[in-house]
Amino acid sequence: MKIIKEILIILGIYYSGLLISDLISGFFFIPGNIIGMGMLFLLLNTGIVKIEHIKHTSGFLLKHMGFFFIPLGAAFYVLFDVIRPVWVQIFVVLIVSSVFVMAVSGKIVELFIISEDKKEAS
Amino acid sequence: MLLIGIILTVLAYMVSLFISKKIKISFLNPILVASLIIIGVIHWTPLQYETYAEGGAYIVKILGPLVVVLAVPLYNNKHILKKYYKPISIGVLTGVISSAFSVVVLSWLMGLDMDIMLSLLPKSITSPMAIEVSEIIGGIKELTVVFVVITGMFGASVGPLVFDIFRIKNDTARGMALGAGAHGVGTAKAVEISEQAGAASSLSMILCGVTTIILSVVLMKIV
Repeated sequence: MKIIKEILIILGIYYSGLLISDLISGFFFIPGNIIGMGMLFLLLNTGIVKIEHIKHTSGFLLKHMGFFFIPLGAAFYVLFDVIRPVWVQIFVVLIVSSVFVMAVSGKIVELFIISEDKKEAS
Repeated sequence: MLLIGIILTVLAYMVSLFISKKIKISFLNPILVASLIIIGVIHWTPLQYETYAEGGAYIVKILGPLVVVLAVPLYNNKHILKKYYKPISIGVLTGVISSAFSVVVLSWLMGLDMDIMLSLLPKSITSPMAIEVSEIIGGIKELTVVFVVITGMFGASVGPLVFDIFRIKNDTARGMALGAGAHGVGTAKAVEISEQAGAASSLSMILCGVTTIILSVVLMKIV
């Protein structure tokens, strides 16, 4: 029973997010699930929804998030032809870009923290 | 015939969890292993891809509500977000911009087609948000998922090496980098470094995703 209640809370927030997304789509498109995430964050902060209310379902979904992507990964079987001629180039982009992102963001955050600490110390 | 796709996915997932438990290689991603198992089954048995995909489509539908529960780790790490909001916002912005910038420049250098570049753009953010971005900007979401998984596995395994080479020693900085560069797989790695790195990585992953979505919406509005 508790699980059904948890699922209903999450689905309720999700569909409200979709509805809001639909209503404002004339001005600005924001995916409904992102709005739903923002709503759940607000509801948790205001205490209207408590972690205990959704603990099991959210824990299960977060733990097994990978499961829900498997069919998309398997679709690679029919999409491989699209990238077959350029897969080496794609790998170069993925590898170089990953290293670049981690080096740049890590270094900048570290330099920022060091300069903040110095400011505090002086 | 719906059940075939669903049952096969569950079985492949269980096998992939079993394998990653037996062989302790942290970057061995269950999405990748399970997808390969299913691809193998489709390739070597009479099962057609179309038959599989019928059931698979139902599993993918759950991805919508899944993003909603990402609010839970965000809420659980709220105190860190408050305390470190400055370095976190800087890390998220540099992460998002450096990823987009490097993908565009490298794709151009490599002579990749536009639709492949668009599918590559959200490669560093968490998969449920990446497929949203891919759809918004006109990429191929199935390709995006594959790129996201490869990025996560590669990023999480070379992360520590990158930190050594560029002498990044601070745990918050390492966590931010892993979350920005390698999303969920990177966050799992950051948890191994320290609790603080794990929290920073989890925040970085979610906020980079949201920022990328907002930027892509704004960009599409302008273009």
